[in-house]
Amino acid sequence: MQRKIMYAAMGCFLLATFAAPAVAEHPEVIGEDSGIPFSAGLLDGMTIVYTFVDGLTYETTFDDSQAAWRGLTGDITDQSSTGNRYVAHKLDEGVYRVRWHEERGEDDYDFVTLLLDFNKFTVFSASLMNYGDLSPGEPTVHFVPGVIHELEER
Amino acid sequence: MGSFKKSVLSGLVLLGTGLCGIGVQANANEARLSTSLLDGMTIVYSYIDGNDTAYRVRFVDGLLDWEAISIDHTNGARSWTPTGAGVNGSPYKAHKLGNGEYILYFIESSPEGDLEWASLHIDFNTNRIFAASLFNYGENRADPHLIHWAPGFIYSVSRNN
Repeated sequence: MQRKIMYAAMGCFLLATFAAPAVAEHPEVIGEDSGIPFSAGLLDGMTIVYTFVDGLTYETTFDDSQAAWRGLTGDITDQSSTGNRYVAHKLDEGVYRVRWHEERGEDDYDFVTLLLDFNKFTVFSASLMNYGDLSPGEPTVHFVPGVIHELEER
Repeated sequence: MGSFKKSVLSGLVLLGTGLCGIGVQANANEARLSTSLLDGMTIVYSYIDGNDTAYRVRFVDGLLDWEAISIDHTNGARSWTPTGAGVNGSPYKAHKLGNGEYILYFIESSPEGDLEWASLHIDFNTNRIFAASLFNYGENRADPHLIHWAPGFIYSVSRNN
């Protein structure tokens, strides 16, 4: 009986060890974040609505150094994501490169980078989607231009 | 016999028309805008990260080759020596944002099996570059994910053709 309990305990331990999802792993950052002072929250207080040429429309709000988006058209309609810490770099007056790392689930990530040009009201997405070890889909690149058609600054 | 010839002729015309149609359709399907916009160019740049490493990047036939070089800035010099690090033949795709302004990405495979996704914003008007990249992903990755996010300065631009 004791042996049965011991085997059961071992089985549970092995199951827990190998069936447990991998621990979420936030990427280390090298480059600007690692040594050079940068301004966090550069876009705080802004809400923009933009549509990519592939028909996806997003409304994205920047507040408290976090980006929150909701999908307005296409496959992302009614989808949303909040609490994504973003970092922005000002390239020129009214031109920003912004990035955030989006975690949908355990080890299921998107690496989103946008080039925002508020002079031309254009946006360009250069992003790596589904790159996590447990992402359900294959890693794909979203590399498309779009237009900003609403800008609200609070 | 005349009727036979006419039939053969009609058949050939129909066959030719059909093949031409297929050919036109195939070409139409294959039509695409070039994304190899920087072919023939070589740029040398450094990231603003305090390191003395610079990168020489060549764009050839839709592929990107890079090599790391060590730059010596002593007394304003810009002599460099290759470090031996580099990767050749990574397919790149570029989009023109404006006059002299491009954004591109490329994916490279490390010998260990890791994939590296790199995007570069290049402005030849201001000689500035900005990298937003994610290193180490894919089913064979051996190292933790790493984000590279860094501005840089372009020292030189040359065109081979």
